[in-house]
Amino acid sequence: MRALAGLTLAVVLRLLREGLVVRALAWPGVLTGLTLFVVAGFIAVQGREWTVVVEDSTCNAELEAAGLRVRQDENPENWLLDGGALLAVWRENDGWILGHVFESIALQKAHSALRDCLHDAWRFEMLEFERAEADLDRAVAAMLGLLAVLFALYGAVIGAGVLFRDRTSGALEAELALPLPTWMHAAARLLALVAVLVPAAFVSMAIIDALLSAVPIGAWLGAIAAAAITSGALGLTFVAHARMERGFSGALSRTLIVTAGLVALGYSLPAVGAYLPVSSIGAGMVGVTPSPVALLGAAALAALAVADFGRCEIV
Amino acid sequence: MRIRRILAIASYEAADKLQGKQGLRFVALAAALLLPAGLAPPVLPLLQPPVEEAPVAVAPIRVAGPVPEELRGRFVEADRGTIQIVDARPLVVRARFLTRDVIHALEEAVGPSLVRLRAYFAAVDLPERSILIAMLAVSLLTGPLAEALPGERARRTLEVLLSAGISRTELVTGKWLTWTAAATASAVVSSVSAMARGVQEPGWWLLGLPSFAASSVAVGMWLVRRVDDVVGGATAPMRVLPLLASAMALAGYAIRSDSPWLAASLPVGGPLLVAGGLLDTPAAALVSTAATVAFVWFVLAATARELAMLDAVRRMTRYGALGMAVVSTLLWWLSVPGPGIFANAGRPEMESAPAASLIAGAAVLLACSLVAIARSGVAPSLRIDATGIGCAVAVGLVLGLAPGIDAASISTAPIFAAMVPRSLASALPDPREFGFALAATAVAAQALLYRQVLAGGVGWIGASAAWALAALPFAPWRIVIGSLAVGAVGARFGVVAAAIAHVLWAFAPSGLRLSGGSGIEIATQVAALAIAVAAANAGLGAPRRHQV
Repeated sequence: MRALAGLTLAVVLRLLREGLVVRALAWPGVLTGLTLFVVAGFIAVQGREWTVVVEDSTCNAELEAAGLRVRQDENPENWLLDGGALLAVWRENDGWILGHVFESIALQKAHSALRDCLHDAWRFEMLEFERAEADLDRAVAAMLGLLAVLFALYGAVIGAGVLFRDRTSGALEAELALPLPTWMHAAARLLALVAVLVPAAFVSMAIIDALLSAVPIGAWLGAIAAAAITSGALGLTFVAHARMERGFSGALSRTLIVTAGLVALGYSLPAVGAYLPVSSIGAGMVGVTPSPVALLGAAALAALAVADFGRCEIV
Repeated sequence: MRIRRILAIASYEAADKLQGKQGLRFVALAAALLLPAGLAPPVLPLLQPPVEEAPVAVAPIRVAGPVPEELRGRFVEADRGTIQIVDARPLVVRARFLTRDVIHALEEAVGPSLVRLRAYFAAVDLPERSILIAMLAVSLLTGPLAEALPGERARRTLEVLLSAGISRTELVTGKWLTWTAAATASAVVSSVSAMARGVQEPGWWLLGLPSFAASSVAVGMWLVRRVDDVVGGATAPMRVLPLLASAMALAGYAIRSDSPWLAASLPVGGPLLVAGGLLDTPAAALVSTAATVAFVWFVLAATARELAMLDAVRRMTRYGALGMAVVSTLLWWLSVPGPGIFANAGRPEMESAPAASLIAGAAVLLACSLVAIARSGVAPSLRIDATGIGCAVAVGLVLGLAPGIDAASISTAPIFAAMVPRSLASALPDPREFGFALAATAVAAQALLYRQVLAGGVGWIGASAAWALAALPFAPWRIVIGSLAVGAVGARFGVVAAAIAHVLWAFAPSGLRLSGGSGIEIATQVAALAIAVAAANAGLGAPRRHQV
């Protein structure tokens, strides 16, 4: 076990000394956090008023009191058709039409204000919009899912690339000359992959949690760990079975395709995918919490990959 | 440039990577990805005329609270109702929002109303299927791009090629040509199948496919121009290309109605818009092609110039330390004061708890520190002697006497107002607010990055200033002298001593702090700095940092 720890540490240090790998790991957290902050900042600077285009000024006071900006035009419907406005009000036959492009808080405000203004048959008091847990959870799940997919792909690249690089540089031959079981070399690479990717994923998710709060870090971290182990094991296996003359690109492409396919499986069948490694990410993106059982599957696949590495010809 | 040599390199590249079973695998993968993309029927609805909210038959509406007798049947009382009925005459309902079924039930119960909702599909130009085909065709090249230059370096065959009778530009252009042709051929086959299936009509978008492939391959090769391993060579294009293409395409989309030619000439993004049918005039397609030719020529020339260099930075140089400082400070700002932006964006309920920010900030600093230590190969010394402890305690206690900084006393732009208290609370975390473990961890993380890692790269004075700027960007001058005191302790006695001083500064109870204005604040920090500098210059042996 000390030998395994030593080998793992050596691989971790080799990975961290690659500037591109380190920058790749920092990229998701920086990009996601910066995007969230910039969007929120843009909204903060721009202000939060929505515009409603009206034909008749009868209800202007009520609409403005509801926090909407009112713009007068003789053909408000055209604004909707041209994409120039998201809300518009005009008379049609004996009633009033509130045209909208999508559901929004502003639509509810306009709806409530119009009914009050026109003393309609029934009125609507809008409650102050509290944080819509379901809406935010869906958006956060989609965001975290994309982050997790990226880390799963990183697992594929690192799993395949580390073995290929060590083979071509001669480091693998030197390690194989040590009096250690062959499986230990594959196990060390997979453990190093987890040791590098999981903390990086945790940091990225912690940044998003700090910005959005209530991110289920534990469940997602487990899904990312399972995905990284599985995709890394796949990459390791494909490269181990490829000969020197086949190169890296074919093995990597296969690994990436399989990884993407598993994510798509989880996305399409979340009830099943939540329990499978890599697929649990796809399930998480549609709101089904990734199950810790996926980690067991990942561990089993990793064990298979390690055993396969131990007996296949790798030079 | 000699065409025959470029073609020779291209055929060498194709023979090396696409011959035999490798070639068959590439074709199979391309077919598996791109043929379904081309043949799948359209999934997005065509733009439809406006529709009124169609009535739906639903179960009785759940109401939180009593339901008037005349409304029973369509409304039922329930524990977790979506609406409340406030009054019956006139009927007033209270809710966060009304769904179609609720509105329909209300109309049924009360009768038709004056106000009717009508949904419109906005006149938005959506890209055609070909944009997906273009992006998928380029995504196939992740592996080949990793081997085009990084793989050659790793196998030591790049030197052999460079010593042959070809120029670097010819070498790079030949490789570029191979993979551009491969991506273009894949995209064209998929597009032909889409046209045959009737998914998309032929048009000028076909010109965008080779342009997008050409510019993406050129950028991909430039990204890996100095890489000598396939892992790094695969991750760089994978993370940068999608972002670059999306950003440039979005920028072009935003300006295309005002300036279609400028949108078409944007690198990578312009051809993608053309390929997606969003710039579907002959002029835009031709402008995009011409701009792509110029862009590709420029990028390939830049790649060729740097072909002999290696990206093999191992130890943290001064610039590496500055880069580390910038990245870690940016991440700290995003995690710690950043959530305060939501208060100004109209969603104060989304502002996360300061504890969550502190956890993220500490994790970021620890991660950056550990990476820097792993890359440098020099572990920090955690030893400390009695003198160090004494000095650290003295400095920390004096700093702890300083009056607490009031967030209200820091004037800043309104957009940053909610961020100031968060910054203060995390720079000097109070254990009574965050718990001892979290507060101590946050302080330790700050000490490790700024007093050990950065101080080793830019000196303790620069690192101290960097901490002040990171911890309190709105008024760093309020804490910079104290930071210098802690930095001096760290430079002389090690990171543990610096952490002790910082902990005592942060953990001092408010009852012990002196009352007074900025004069007392500065005086205490100056006194602490004087103690630290005096102890450092007292001639008590070699500084800890320089001990082997």
